[in-house]
Amino acid sequence: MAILKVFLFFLWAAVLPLLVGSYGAVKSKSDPGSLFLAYFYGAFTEFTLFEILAVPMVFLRCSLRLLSFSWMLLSLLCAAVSLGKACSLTRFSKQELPPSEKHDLPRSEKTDFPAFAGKFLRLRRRFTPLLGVVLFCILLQTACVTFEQHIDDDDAFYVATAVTAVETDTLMEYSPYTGSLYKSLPTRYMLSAWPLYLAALSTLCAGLHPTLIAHLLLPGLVVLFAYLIYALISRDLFPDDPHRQDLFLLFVVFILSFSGFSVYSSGVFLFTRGWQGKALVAAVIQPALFFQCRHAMKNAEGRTAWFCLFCTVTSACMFSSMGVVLSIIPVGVYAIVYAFEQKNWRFLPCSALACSSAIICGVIYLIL
Amino acid sequence: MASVFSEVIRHFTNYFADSFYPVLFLIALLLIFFHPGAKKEQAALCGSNLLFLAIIFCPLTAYVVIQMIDSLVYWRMFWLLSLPVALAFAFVHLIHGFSRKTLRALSAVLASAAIVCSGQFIFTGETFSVRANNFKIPTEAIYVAESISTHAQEEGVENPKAVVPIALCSYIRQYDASIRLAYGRNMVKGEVTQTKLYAEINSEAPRAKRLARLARKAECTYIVLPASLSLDKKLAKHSFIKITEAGGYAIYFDSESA
Repeated sequence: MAILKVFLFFLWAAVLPLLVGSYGAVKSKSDPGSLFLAYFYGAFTEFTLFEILAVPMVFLRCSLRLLSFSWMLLSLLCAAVSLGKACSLTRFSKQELPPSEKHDLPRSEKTDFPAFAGKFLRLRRRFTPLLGVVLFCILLQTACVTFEQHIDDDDAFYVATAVTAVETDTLMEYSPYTGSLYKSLPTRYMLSAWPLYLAALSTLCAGLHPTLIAHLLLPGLVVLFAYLIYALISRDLFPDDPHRQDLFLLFVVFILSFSGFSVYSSGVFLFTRGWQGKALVAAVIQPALFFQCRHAMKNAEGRTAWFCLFCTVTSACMFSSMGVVLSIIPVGVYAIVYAFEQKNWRFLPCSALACSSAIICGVIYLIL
Repeated sequence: MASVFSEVIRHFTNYFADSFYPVLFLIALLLIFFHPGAKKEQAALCGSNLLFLAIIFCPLTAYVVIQMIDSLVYWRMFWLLSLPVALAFAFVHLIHGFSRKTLRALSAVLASAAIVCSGQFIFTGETFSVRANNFKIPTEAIYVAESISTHAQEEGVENPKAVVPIALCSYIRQYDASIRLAYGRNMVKGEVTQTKLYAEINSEAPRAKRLARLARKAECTYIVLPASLSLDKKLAKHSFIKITEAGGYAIYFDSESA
């Protein structure tokens, strides 16, 4: 039974995002069919779906089961649609492609479906000793955060909120500290549904304890997700140069491993509190925004990239209330920088639109 | 504005502590700015990070942000700096600036040494310890929660409520949220009874009579105390009967509530 629960966890947290993001990855111009890109797109799309469902449900005092199963259905629907569209897009020959989508695929991918499918199913990297060292270091770190323990007292809120939601089948109606009914809505936390995401995963994994998800299964996955984003950045900074990509990743591994200079650094948050929303804002959202802004603005990836930027910003709001400020500022800064560099002022209104969820959350926080 | 700036400097000092990462970071930005091979990324890496630094250190923007997120957590603004990306990118360019393999290897070793000497390794015994159980919470909290939960089921106690020492209060509900607690980690905002109960149970020598009265007033059916305190007889006088010992703690049940 325990194996089934863990299998379900990896199905929801590792496999489903790949399927949800497959269409976005297939449409990418700079890195078409990349598995990493598919996971990146899929994970943030799933977080966004969850946030969009969870926030009104918290206000309407719906049950955790309703939230979990509605999110599950919506995610499965998205996965089916995305996978279907990805497959149909790759099956089209150059002549059959609709004119609107012809320009979205690189020339080589438009006609050669077997080659494209083959690419999508592989990681498309030859193995080098340097890459081996990088992977070994990352696996060591993942093993350490999974099998060793670091106790953090903030879990009395974050993890206990998830456990309380599962126990009472409610959404943030009871204080996680004492279990008594909240006298008023917890305004500081109610727009950040991350603890409820843990609770929903528990519900969908046949009752796998939320504390086990948070402390045992999630930290390793979050570390891998962070490095996946750095790997995407390396491909973007050094296209067609695997040696530089590997060296870049090796230095990132080094820098993060040696960022224990204070308890505040993003590296410390990644490795010691990976299951808390604020750690995700520090260690996942910041590199993700760097990559996604490049993707949308510098690489001109089109609407898919802008949509994913919106999803990344919404995910930041879902992870933590700090995500509101720590997503609007970087997107604004990257928009200004790229607008000047590319002489394209359209980036500014587009970025504002991508930040709309954070702006709405910010206004709600100020009102409440 | 001067006070805002000094506040920002204080956060900067706390964030980077004794590390040389800020120096390395500035060197990396200069390298990216002046290196001809890195021209393409000047805007993305130098421009954005300089703007981040300007926003973080400018008293006006710092004041606005502090109003929004609270001064206590302003250090989180330093998360905005894309330090790992800029440093790694600069090092890669520096190393590939040399054509000879030996020089490349030497510069790679020097760059790694700079990182090692500037920072502090995270994966040490101070940060991580051998996990006591799969939940990664203190095992005694699990034992206590199990004991209360089992007893409550046997005795038909609905919504059991306990008062526990501060050492346990953060963990009991991470294991079993069916157990309510008299006070939690947010004691600062506690009510009067909660505050008195908190002070009594965490004192060096809790007074049994007062503890029992306050626990009853807070509707607690269970009292958890370190077993070493040996308050069994005194608490029994006030109808709190010891039901078991678990993880070094004695668990008492209010027999009047049964």
